[in-house]
Amino acid sequence: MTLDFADFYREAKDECLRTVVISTGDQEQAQDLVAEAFARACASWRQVSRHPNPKAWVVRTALNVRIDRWRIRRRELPLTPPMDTVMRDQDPADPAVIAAVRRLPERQRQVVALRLLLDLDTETTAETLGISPGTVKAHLSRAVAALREALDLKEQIS
Amino acid sequence: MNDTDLSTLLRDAVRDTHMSVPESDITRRAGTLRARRWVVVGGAASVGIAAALAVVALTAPAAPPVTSQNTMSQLTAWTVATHPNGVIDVTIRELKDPAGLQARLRADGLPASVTFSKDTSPACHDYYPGHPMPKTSVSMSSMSDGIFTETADETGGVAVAINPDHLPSDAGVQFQVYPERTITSHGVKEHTFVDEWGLVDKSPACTGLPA
Repeated sequence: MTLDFADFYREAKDECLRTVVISTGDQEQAQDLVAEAFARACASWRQVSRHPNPKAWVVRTALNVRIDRWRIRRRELPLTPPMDTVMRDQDPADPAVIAAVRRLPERQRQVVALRLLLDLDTETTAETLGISPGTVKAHLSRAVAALREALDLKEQIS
Repeated sequence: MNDTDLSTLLRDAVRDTHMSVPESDITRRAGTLRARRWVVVGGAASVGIAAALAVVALTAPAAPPVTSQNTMSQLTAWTVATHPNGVIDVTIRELKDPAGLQARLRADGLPASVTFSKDTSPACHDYYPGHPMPKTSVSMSSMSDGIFTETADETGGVAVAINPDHLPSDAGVQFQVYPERTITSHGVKEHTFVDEWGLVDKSPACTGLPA
């Protein structure tokens, strides 16, 4: 049965946005990127609906759009990379968690977002990010260790 | 703290984050993208361009095409079919004989430029009525609404219906399709094609008919 785009958008939009927010660290920009990615999905819906994981398609497209925009911007002005941009939270439940994620390198953030938020398996995460499964595992391992350390430390302090 | 705890913490941290863009805005933007867009098409590398080309199906033509020799050209690479209401269906299955397709469209009275390569004719200029300075392709696409409609092609070709009634008198159409790159996704090789159509200034050098 073909998945209806409207149903897909309704069901997947928040999950994709949250994944991109964690991946990019910039909530305001993430809204634009995810909207653009969904529009591209809608424009090519017959094909995207047959993708093994349409949510992963949207997230990958959103991240690629971001890379494209950053490249364009970089040509125009010597701006700092997007990993340094400020995450503008919508009153997150635990700012300490967000802060800990923001301190991770960008690729680790992306792996964490795809594996732990979007629930993708290692292979799909690797395909989505264009890296090897071994690299995904290594990034996840380092990221989880860093987050545990940061959050356990926070628990001890509090 | 195990992975499950960490996953729960992350989910809780962004649980109040919601997509605020209404679906209507998404579909409106998608309509713009359809008029002039990038297409990523899937297919095994070994089956070639024809099977690799695949695009979105939207709506079927309103009227059946006339199938006489005078109004329909049928080639392996592409098909042009003219409906009684004037709408012209163009289906591209293989990137062959762009000059033939261009000549067929022009013979049907449609000012047209067709290229199956990255380079377009230097004689062609994007159509921006009332705007002497070029705007973005997105803006141009929105002006194309009503002229181009993606249609279904069961063989997986690029298919678009053109309504000449909506074409400005000083504009022509431009088709540009070319292979971009091959990527591997989920173990399957996918060919990436750039598939664009839009409006250009009508001129003898670009679209072949008097301006």
